[in-house]
Amino acid sequence: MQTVKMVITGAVAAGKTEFIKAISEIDVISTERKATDETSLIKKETTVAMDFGRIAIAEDLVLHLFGTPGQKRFDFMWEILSEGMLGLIVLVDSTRPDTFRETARIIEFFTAYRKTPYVIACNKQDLENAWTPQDIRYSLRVPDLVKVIPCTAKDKEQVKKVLLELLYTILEDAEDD
Amino acid sequence: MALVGNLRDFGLSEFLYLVDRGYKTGKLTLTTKGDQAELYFQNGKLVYATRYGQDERIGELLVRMGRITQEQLHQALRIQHTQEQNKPLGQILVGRQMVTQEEIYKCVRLQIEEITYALFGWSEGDFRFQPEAAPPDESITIPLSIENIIMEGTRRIDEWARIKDKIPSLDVVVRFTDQPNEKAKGVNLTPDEWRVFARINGVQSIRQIAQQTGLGEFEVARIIYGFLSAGLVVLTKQVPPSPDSRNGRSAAPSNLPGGSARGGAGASINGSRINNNGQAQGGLRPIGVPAGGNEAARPTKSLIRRLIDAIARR
Repeated sequence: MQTVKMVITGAVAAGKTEFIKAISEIDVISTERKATDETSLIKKETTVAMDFGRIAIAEDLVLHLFGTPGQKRFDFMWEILSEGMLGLIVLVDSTRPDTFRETARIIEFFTAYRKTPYVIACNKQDLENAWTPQDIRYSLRVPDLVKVIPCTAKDKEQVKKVLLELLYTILEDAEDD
Repeated sequence: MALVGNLRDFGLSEFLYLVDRGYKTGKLTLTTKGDQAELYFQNGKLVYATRYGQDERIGELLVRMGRITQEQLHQALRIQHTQEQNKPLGQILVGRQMVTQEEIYKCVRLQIEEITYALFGWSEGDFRFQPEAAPPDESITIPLSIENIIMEGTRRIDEWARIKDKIPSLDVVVRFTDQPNEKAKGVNLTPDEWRVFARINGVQSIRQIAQQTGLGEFEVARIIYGFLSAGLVVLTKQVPPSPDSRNGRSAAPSNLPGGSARGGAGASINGSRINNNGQAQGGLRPIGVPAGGNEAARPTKSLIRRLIDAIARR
């Protein structure tokens, strides 16, 4: 059985758990517990370890989806989760510009030392005060080659689209058989 | 739709960069304790600025700047009230050769710039951007390059804490952006900024540039902060610290309050420590450098195609 891994990252409350839940075929394994720090102001339950979802591609192939913890004090998890990953989805809460700087820091962390295929998914585009993907691109200062995709993490079709866009990006640099 | 936020989380230079790159038109209102300012933009250019308590009319501005006398202003206002009621005051002054059009533009430009530069000192305050909002009818607008505004604004920043937001360590390498904004060619740099600019090569760290220019670490970091804010450069990797810094010098200027000084051997990336071979010690390793030291193997095209097919079918 071959397993491949994708990592879903983003700042606190960017929608990582929701994103994985929308597409995973198993109940998302999420070690959530009541937040005790400042994140409790943003959401009642916050991820303190990780989310894990799975998609069976074939009998011999499984895709694992890992969500990183949002809080800075769990930075050490990023490295562990990113080992051997196929690609990275960076979720951004489009309605919260106060998280863009943290999001940029996360992108920098994951991409500073090697060419990591990634896309930016601008979540909560269904909300009225959402910043446009273009504005978010400028704010995060991601290179033009990086795809910045509008999405609503609750919507399975939109989550699928984000995953596919990441896979197309990975395909461009994949080795010939 | 309005863009709203707080300067604490999304600074003025970041917002100006967004306006510039997005060629935005509209009004940015900044509000802090007992103070308010409005900046107006047209197609990515700053064209007008007002601030609570500093909203001078053109006549008062010209008097304050010594371009006309108070008596000349009264005379022009009398003409406006009695003979040329629909004519802007500026035109009356120019028509009577009390002042030139160029002098009027110069004064207005100075006022817009001074109001805006002062706002860089606001570390806190709500902002609200209303697209398409235009300056008041009677205002004289002058399109000003955002990059230069950012550069000058950041020249006035004197707190390491603000700079540290974008430059976490002096051991990071600076390089030019792959696709610099075409307008960046028009940015004006001071001689010291040019000295730093000329040494950016994608290889040397900020600390090394500081050593070569003799400008001091804070000064070089501040200048590079300006380049970063204006979108001229990006930070890339972190290099192993120089022998000087291994001998106890800190990763941030040690004489500055709030510097991210860690001292000791090795630089730091988000809490991990990197030895002189670029390998992490203790906690974190840089992403992409697995425990065995080998890069993860690249996936094959057939594997990725299988994943694409399976997900597309779901």
